[in-house]
Amino acid sequence: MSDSARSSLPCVVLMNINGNGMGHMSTCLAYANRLRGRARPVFFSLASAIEIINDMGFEADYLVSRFWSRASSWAWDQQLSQRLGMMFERVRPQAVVFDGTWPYRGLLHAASAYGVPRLVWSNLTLYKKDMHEVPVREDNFDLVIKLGELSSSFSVERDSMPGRSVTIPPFTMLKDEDLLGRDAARDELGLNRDGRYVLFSLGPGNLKDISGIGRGLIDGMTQSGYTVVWARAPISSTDVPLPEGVIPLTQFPLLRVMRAFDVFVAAAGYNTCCEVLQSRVPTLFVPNTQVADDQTARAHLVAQAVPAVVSPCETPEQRANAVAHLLAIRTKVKTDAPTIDLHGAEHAADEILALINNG
Amino acid sequence: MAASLKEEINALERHLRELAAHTDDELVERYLIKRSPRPKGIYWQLRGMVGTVLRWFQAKWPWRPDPWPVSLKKQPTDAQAKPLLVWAVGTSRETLREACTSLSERWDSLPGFAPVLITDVADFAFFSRLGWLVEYLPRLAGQGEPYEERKLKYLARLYRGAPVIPVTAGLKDCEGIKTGPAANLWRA
Repeated sequence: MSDSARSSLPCVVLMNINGNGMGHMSTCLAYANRLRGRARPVFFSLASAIEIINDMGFEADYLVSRFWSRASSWAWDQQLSQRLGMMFERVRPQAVVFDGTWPYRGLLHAASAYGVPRLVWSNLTLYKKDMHEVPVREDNFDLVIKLGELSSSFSVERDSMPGRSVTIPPFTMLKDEDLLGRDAARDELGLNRDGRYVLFSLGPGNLKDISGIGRGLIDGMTQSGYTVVWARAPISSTDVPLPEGVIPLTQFPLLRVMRAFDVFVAAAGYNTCCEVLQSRVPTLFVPNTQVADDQTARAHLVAQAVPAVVSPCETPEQRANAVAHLLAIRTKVKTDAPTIDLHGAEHAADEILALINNG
Repeated sequence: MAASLKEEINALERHLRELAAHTDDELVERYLIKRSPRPKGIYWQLRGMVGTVLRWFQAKWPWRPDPWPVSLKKQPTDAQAKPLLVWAVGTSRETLREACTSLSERWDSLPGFAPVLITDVADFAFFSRLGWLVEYLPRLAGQGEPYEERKLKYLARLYRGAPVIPVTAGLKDCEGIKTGPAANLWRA
């Protein structure tokens, strides 16, 4: 986009938290994709995946995440405030969207100090029951976007501002037409059109040591006649060593090529679950229990709509049962599956633009 | 130390000193987070007094914690390590990868220092595996002073006095890396 084109569109700064995964960045990319041509999205990312943002056509800056930094919260927030201030004064945003669990003090201070016209908080809804309530008032924000789970449709919880609150249905980064079909995806990946392939995406390897579970499942799938393709997250600090015969794959977003695979083995992050809903690839979910959101509950919701198995896979028996179950259901079509609305990102973009245009 | 590397280091140090001399008082003042007024009550008064005493002790060396520690969690460098800036602005991706990999393999020869990569190259998949603190200098279209220039001045002030080496030092076989910058101890 040329500078003159950029300057004619309202600027929206998207700030995504992250440190261990790319889920929040994926959410912001989904919003940015739907804002394209109607606004100028600029990213302030705590996820160390700036080239991915650039490759999708957006500008971005980076600050080391609080999860990775040894700085105190106070010191880190000071850095955040100063650096956001520099970005705001350069790009002059009409709105700032924060996607994350806990809006940082540094963000709130910088937004207030600059005078950001409109502040938006985007957040999950399905957290674990024992998670402490976030001590940030929703009326600090002009708009709160709550990411609904499988059964959610668009709804307005509170119409008045500040603190207009809406729930949006699930969404993915890509539109349906952006997904490759089975053969085209296999050709792109260099896979045999007639082979049997399973894709593994168990997380970035930064938070949960997945090597034990992963190895056990690889063995189970291999013994069942499948070739294993292991997705390596772009921001892993270390790579899980792979057994011989396993094909590594570094691609983002995976969604574009997911239909190349007969089955999928994955953690149950929000974006992954949405991608399973969109691609309809039969899936074994191995929920990550070390994160704030309730992945187990989410995985069970997805299993109502697509052929899916949910298992912690922590013991050999659990893994064997899970693999057997997955292969037994993979060709079954759920005739009573609910209709799924995956247009949440469109709703979010429309809400953000309405906020800018109508104030 | 090879003469050309020494000259490069001297030039970089001079450049960063010049940049750090640019103040940005408006930025600092506008975006500095000030502590909230203390709530009323004996508990909060006592807590505030304890906090004041603790901060007084912390301000005295050697108990003063580094406000911006550069050693990242889950990395083997010492949590108290001081920054050694690795300058990689205007470097190609290939040269940066080769040089950083080589530096990383030799980092044990620089005890007490943790690398801070200053770069305009977006290669964060590689940076994640490197485990270094990265200070990124993107170009952003907009108004006023070019973003990357203003941010570079900010970083020069933040890391004022820290030793610096060009990233291409990683491609050179020189003992001088060990004795040059490491000999300049940095105090915040």
